[in-house]
Amino acid sequence: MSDVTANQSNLRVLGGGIAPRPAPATTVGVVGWLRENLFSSLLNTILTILSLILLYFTVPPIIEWAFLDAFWTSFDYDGNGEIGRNDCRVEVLDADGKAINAVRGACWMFVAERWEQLLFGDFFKDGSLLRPTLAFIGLFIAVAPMLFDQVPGRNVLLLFAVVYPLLAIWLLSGTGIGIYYELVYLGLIVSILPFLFPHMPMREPLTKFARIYPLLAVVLIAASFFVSADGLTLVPGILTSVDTHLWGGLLLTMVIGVVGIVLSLPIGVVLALGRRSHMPAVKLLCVIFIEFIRGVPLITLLFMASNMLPLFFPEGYDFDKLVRALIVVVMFSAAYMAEVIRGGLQAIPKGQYEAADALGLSYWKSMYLIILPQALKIVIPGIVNSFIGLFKDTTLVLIIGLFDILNTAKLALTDAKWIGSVKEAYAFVALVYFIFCFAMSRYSIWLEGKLETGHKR
Amino acid sequence: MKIKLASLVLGAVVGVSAATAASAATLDDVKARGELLCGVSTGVAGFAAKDDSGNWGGVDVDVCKAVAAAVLGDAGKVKYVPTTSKERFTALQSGEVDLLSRVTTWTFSRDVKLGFEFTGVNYYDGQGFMVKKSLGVTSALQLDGATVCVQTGTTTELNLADYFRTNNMTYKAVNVETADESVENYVNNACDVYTTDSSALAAQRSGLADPSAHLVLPEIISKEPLGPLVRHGDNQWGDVVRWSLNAMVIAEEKGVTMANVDEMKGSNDPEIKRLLGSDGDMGAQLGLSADWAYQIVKQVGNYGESFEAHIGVNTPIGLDRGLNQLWTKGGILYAPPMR
Amino acid sequence: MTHFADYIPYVACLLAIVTFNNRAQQAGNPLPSSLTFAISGGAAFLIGAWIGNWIIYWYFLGIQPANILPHPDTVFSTPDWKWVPICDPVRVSSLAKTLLVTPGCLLGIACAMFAWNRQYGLENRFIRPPPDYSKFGVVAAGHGGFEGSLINNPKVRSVVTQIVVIGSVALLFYFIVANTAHNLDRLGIASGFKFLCDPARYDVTGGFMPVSSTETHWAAFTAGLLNTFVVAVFGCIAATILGVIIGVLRLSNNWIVSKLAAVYVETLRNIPVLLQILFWYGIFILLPAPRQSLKIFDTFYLNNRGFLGPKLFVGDAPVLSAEQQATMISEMGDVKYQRLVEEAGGEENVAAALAESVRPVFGDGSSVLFISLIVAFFAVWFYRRWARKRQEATGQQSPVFLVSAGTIILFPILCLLIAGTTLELQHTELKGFNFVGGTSISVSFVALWFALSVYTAAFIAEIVRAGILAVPYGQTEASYALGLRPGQAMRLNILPQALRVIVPPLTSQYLNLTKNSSLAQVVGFLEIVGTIGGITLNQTGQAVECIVITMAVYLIISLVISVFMNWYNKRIALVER
Repeated sequence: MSDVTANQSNLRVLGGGIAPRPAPATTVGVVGWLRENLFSSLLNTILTILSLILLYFTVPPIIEWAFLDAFWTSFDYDGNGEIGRNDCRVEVLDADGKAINAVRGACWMFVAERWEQLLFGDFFKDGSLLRPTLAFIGLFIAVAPMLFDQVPGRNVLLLFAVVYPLLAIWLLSGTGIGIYYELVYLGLIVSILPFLFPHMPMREPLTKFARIYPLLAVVLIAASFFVSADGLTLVPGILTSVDTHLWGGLLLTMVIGVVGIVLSLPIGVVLALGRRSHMPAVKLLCVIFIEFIRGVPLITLLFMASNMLPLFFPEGYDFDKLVRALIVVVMFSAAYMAEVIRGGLQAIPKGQYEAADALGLSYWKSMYLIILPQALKIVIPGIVNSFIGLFKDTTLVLIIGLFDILNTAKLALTDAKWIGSVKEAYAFVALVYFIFCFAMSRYSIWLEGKLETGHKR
Repeated sequence: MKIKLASLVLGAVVGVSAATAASAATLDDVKARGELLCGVSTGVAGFAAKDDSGNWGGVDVDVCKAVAAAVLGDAGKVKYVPTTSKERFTALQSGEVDLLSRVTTWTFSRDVKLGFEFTGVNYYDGQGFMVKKSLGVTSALQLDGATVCVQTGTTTELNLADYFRTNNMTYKAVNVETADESVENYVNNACDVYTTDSSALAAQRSGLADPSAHLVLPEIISKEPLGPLVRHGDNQWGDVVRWSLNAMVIAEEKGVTMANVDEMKGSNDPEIKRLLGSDGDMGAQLGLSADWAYQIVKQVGNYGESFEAHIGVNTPIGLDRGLNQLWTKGGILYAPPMR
Repeated sequence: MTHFADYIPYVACLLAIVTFNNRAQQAGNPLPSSLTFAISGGAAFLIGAWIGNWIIYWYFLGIQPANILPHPDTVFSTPDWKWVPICDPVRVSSLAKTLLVTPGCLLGIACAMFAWNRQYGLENRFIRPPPDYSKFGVVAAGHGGFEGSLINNPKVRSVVTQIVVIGSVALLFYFIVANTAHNLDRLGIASGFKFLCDPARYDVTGGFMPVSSTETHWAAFTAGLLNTFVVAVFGCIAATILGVIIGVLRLSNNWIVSKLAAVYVETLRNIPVLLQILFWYGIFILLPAPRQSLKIFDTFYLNNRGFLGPKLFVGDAPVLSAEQQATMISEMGDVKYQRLVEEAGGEENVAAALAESVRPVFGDGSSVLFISLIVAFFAVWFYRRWARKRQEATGQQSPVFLVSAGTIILFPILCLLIAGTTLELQHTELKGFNFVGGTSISVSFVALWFALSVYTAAFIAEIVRAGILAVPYGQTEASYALGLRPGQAMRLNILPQALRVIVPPLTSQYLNLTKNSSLAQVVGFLEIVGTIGGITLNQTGQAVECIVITMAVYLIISLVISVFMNWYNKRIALVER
């Protein structure tokens, strides 16, 4: 509209010719928009009317249930000394016009009362809620510099991101990991430093260290096999240790999701490279692994983790249920990730491989410096999609009896006080998943646009 | 040593400590670990359930506590491992738990074929049916053609199949994994009948919005002796669990309670003396301290106390002692003598 | 003990070798001499089959095979081949052989192919020629003239790496297998597949093939398998239809419609499917109870147990012999018999009532339907060929769709009418607790199917949208310029091109839907994970076997769907030229 008026006045000043007549009222303004977008043809009109009818029958009831008639704050309305679903009852008329007490709107008290359990499971039993809260906040701080490159103090935050896993493990489990693994980790941090800070002092020797570091790491890990590392931790027992079976709720969902995402990417890269390897044995193994995992449902793999994995290990050896679930989730998402990354590798023109070879780069160098940066960039949407899929799949752990946010909500429903709060529970869990997944998909779209460096024709 | 390192490596990679368990001598393992790994259900009111602050309680849980009190002297040193009905046996077989106390029916095939040892019965149960009163059904024999909610992976679905077949009736089953889903289905009319162990029926009926609108049918269609079980072959550990449970029953028989256990120590009854460790070396024979049974009664209580606290008539579950009354009072609860 | 099915793998082997031979010839590759062919092919064949046999006999049946290689005379002269129930040991061994020997043979063939390729340089996917570095002026390693330590020799490195990798994987497998065997033994868990033949002791209801508790685990497994198939097939169909509609609507120029479609897609694909299944199940069980069912024309009923409708019988009820009737009555027991007599209205009607109770949907005289259908299909095929030729020759179009649909629907009906085959509708009616008779679909199936369909449809909608957007708008304009109507433009020009983009991701959505059907257990629908991977596993305690069978089924389904969709993809890719 404003453009139109501007043009008109310009014309008048310039030529003094006949001013163009304004566009017909039916093509501009609200009416024009409606005509063009909603009623442009008979079919469109019908579709519009149908949509409006659909909206009329769905939206108002949902708004009424979720907001207008809902109970938000915990209060013992019926005065029976405890807060339960009965507190959400109001007087309504039943089909015969008789006044009865019933729950009409959403009883969000349920979520409010179970808030801590839904977020952290039984964590508060042994540890304090401060710890998982800090771990959550830390996660966002650690992830921020990876997601956005305009974050102030990005390099320092990146360093924090490298330290974060160690910190999170310490905060959540209360025990540090074995000394050798901490040394390995420390080495990793030191060797990443020169890449983060190009102007730091002693950059040269550190770079050299970074070069020999992988070998050192292998030696350290190998050495750990010969040392009993009971209690040998750098982080002394300041915190009480919290057993993983107390973890639950969103915390557990995040642990499974984040561990799956973080570990599946590198493993997926290795598998994808293996699948494109020129070595038949390596290739065959990777193909079998990927196709096997992709061919079966996650739930059968989880059954395998809970029912078969214990049989795979020597007598007297058993490990945490959460670890078993994590192993399976990582394997599962790595196989999918490998296929996504393989798509990227295939999309790189052969010339790039040949150019890398011509430069005399070794296989790993050519991959690391030339191929992977390009390939990964292409498949970012696919990678994020895999992440979203993985995050949604974390719900399946309820089938093997782990208490993620969905299972925690289901468990809360068995409490006699809250029987019947199914809708509230599922709606809340659905909302949590929606927020995370939708945010990830929006981020992927944003990133795609940002990385579009003008190759579009 | 090997085990420790392997577990360390695997555990440390993902930052979670790995548990080691289950060598031939479970008793030594438990003592060394200082903690009992006890498999319980993922939630059956009165038997094993979590309260608001996340503590486990129930008659099944009390068995775990009793064993911990006997072995470690502290009923609190138990790590509860919630298991689904599908994975419970693997959990025990693989050593993930030392003891499974999870409303598990003692059957021939489980005892013999699956390689377990049932160490007693802590609740005599039987399978029953619950219907809505509005259906007008008064006997299970009127259920021909009904849709039945049943938990999958339990003996109940086998009994159900047998019962309907024997009585020439047909049914449709709605099989779900957990008890609460079954109840949810039943409440929402997805099935006409809900079947499970009658104890659980009573418990779940009490949790419904209007318990009086539902009827537990008189037919009990099966024997369901529920009890703790351990791995076959570790007889010493089996003895410990068996006698921990027996000690609770004997304590009730002899009137030893949590409150009077200290004064009962001075009792003249030789069996009480043997039980509480002031006479004989029963504890040493089991590989336990002399006051093992004293600790059980002191910290957990006798069988009757446990029953009344979790599932008795004064609880929301409101179960009558029935078959689970002592043999001297008309029930079938009968512990071998301690001598 | 020899059995017809034993020879299937051998025949398959021979066929594969001959096919390979032919294809190599077609490709114009230098062929090995017939002697080499005979020796290596024969060796591959025998070794593969031999290994397979040994695996089965030793591992699965625990028998030392007396006759490892079949005597040539017995191959086609096994006279007593008949349908033996699966739980007959002979049958089990045959099935296991068929399943296991075939891969063994294929492995043998692969080895032979590999050997040939080494010799004759036939291109295949096992060996890739080394890159031709000479064009860069670089003398590549391993191509002569390479001087350096062994450690830098790519060939040596490659071999060493592979040996290390294979070695570690083999070690890992050895570790797992040895531990598992030891643990199973130690824990006294039975192994082997014999449990499949034990009575299942549980009923499979609510699906498409009721199995009673007296039948075997194998029967329960097959019922579960059928249920998985039904969910997968109907789910894929519904998801495709809904997905295409939503995808097209999202591209609509109607603002409100496209926004609604966008909301649908964004909401449904961002919420876990497990939650959606639980949600829809929660919605469907809020339908009224059977006695207050929603009625549609008094024929179809909706209630919280399922959706019911009439059943159409084609053909007559079977005529039962006196013996069969006697057996049925004795199996029935007194109570049921009395009830049957009451319902039938007297002893004299019992025979008819019995026949009615075992009446199949396609009864006596229904063959007319099948024959006429086949005839109709052939007729349509010829008609379509003729129509296409005519259009190519003269440019005249024929009403292909109308005629095809008309023939396929009307011709069989006409034949049925002429032949006077009985067509009977059996209505469903409320009796006691539930509806009796007619067709019924359980609500857990409906909820599962619905949830999977709407969830997958959200993904398919995006795939369809991307596919349509991938076709340049010029194509649409060109179609309009040629005078095609929008519908025609879409059907004849845009969709065929879009399909090429759509099919590969669509395949993986179909696979996902099939795999997601394993979540059925949360709503109590007994498909394969519910039967063999669930109750059977629980009752027998044989976790390894049950999970292996479950996984194998999904792998096979995945493989079949991928093969089919690859074939289809190839077909439509050819259209492009």
